[in-house]
Amino acid sequence: MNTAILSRRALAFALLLGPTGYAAHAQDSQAAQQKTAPYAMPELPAVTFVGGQANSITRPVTPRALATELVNGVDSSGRVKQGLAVAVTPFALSGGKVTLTEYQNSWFKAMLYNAQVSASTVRTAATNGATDLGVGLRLTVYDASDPMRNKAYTDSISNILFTTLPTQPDDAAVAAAANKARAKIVACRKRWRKANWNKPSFSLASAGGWRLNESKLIPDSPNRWLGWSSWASGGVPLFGTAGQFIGQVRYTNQRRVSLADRSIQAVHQFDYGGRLILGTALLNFSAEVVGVRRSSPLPNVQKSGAEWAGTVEFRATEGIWISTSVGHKLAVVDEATSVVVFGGLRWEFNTDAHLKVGPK
Amino acid sequence: MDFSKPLTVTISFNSPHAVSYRFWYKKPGDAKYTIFATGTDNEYSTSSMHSHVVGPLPSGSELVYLVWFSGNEYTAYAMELALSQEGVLLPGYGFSHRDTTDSDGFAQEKHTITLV
Repeated sequence: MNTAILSRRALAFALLLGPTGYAAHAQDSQAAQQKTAPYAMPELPAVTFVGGQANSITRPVTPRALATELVNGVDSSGRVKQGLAVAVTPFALSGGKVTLTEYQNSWFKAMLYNAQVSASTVRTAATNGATDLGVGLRLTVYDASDPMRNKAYTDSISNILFTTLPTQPDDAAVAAAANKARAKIVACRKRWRKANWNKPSFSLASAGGWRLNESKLIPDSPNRWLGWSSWASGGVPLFGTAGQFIGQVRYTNQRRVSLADRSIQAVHQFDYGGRLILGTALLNFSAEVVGVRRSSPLPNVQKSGAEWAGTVEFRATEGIWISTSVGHKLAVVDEATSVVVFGGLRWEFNTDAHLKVGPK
Repeated sequence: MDFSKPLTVTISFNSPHAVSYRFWYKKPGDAKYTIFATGTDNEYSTSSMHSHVVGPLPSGSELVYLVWFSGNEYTAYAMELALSQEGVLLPGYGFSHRDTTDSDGFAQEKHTITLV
């Protein structure tokens, strides 16, 4: 059995040469984040659809503030500014009212309150200064891991706020008291989420987009419609608070314009994924599968396929976790991780668990 | 406004947040503010509306209200506050605040009303 402690580069080389084993690192690396991304409902579907970055999101809550954002999103020559991300909750924007009691007693009102419309623009690689504009909708249909739907939790938060209010309204006293309240609330929420991180949830999202030549909304031009995507994602608890299964499906309908004859082709893609994670103080386990089916794959792209990965890690002693992973695809390995390879399986020695079972 | 009659301060919350608030007044010449009401979203009689009586207060008095909201991150909150006397709303003394909580789910509204 060939055993060696390898650097990242050497590991990759060894795995490429190895007969059967492919490593799949479960968490805490860029590759892992990319890997787990299919299981997370996009925060802003519009941003996800156009492939933008949600670094700075504006969230207007009044019609006037929204109008200001929209006006500011277009420059003096009528071009849409790039890199915008706006999220609004239509229920609040329209002046709708949902009290805390209603929110806790009606899943429908909670869904209405949390419904979110987003819009985003992103620069494209096209040479004509084009901008992709995306518009999306997200519905949190049900979320038992939402602490605000739990009366015991909100009562405890109200009590924290109540007992921390300052005796005088001067700015210094108010700021000091607010910081104290905020710290207590954050700690309380952290405890609640730790105990409820895997409660059932179900969300839907959809987004569509347009390519604006020269970044202009007007005049209209043919072939601006890019297509649309829809997501459905849900999670259920497993073994109390020890585990969770998350599943997600995504359907995408896009238009592809031929560079040769400008003909338009509708392209369909169906993505699916599932992830199971279990954890205890001594042993963690993760398994995930991601698949795709395409109606018209590009050259050298498979029509359908699936990837999978599994990781088991256990605590050998205080401060030492040993993990092994196996999967269908090679992933990036952390620079700081020491790795031992036994006949195709990757073994890691870490000072902390990679599989963080619990709230995100 | 009739400065010989007490004021009723009514506050209502229209969003799913845990809330606590405190009201102070300060008459002209007072060195410090005096607390006249403290409450939470749990202490209401009808819907999410809370009423507190203060005064009579002389002209030039100040009312301060401090409201803390705690909810989910970046969620919209809404509150309204109005002054009334003998059941009649006082023109110019109705206030509406709408905004979003921060990354900790926390928000604060603090305002001063001068009675004239």
